[in-house]
Amino acid sequence: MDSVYIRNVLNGSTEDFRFLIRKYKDLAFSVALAVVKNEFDAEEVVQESFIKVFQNLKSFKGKSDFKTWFYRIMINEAFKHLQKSKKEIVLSTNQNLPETEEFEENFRGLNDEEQKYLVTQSLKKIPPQESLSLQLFYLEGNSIHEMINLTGWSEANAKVILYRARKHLLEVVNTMIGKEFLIGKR
Amino acid sequence: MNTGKEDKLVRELMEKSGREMPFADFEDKLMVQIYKEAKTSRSFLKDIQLSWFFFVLGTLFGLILNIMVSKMNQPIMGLPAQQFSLIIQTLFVIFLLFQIDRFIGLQKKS
Repeated sequence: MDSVYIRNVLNGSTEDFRFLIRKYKDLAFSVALAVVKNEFDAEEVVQESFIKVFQNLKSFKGKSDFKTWFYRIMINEAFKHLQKSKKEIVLSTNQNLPETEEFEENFRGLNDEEQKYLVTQSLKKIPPQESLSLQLFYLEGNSIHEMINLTGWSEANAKVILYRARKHLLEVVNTMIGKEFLIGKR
Repeated sequence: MNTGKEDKLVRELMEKSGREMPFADFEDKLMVQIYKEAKTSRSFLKDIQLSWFFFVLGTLFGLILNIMVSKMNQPIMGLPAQQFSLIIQTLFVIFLLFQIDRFIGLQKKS
């Protein structure tokens, strides 16, 4: 379906680019947010990426999926943006991995809104590469191989990043449950 | 915590993390920029076509000038015709190479 709209855009129907924006803007926003950690920066990254895609649409040969091509451009833009802003994520957790039962009990004790808030805030506290790997692997269902293709990481590196990401997310969520929710509820 | 349980938990957590674009005017704002881009690229293409036309015209004019100068026998601007012709030819070749280089750059850009 994408290819039809791409062809139309290349043939001069600029309005058809709206379809691509509408289709990918939410996923793109999630991925950009995973890297830059701020809604306004993420919006800027997605916007710049779409403009870059439009400018280079002629060079898209259709060898890979449009989504893959677009994501590569966007991930690149997101890290460039991050480098420009020189933001550094310092991870601070209690460094203890929780026991599963206790963790699940605490997490499920929260309502849906609280759970969403907790996970979103926790993702902002872990390093960009790690939150990106979680986003690509768990939320978008990419395999390790696809993740490598999108990010340019080596296989070993991708596995290490994903392993660390899992640990850090659970640590941060656990720390935040203790700090922000359980204390307030006790 | 074992890896399998950890994996399942993280998957469950990540399901709560999907975010939608929170800016309602994002699409329209972006389309305005896309239209601007499209306009710029169209006028850029037009400029390139025009540049090609003048490039070909200039090259033809240069060639004719070179042929005419090489056929002259009397001194021009105080210089022997042959020497003057050589200067004109050298300048023409340098100019031609310089323009070709710029065109290659422009083609890559477009």
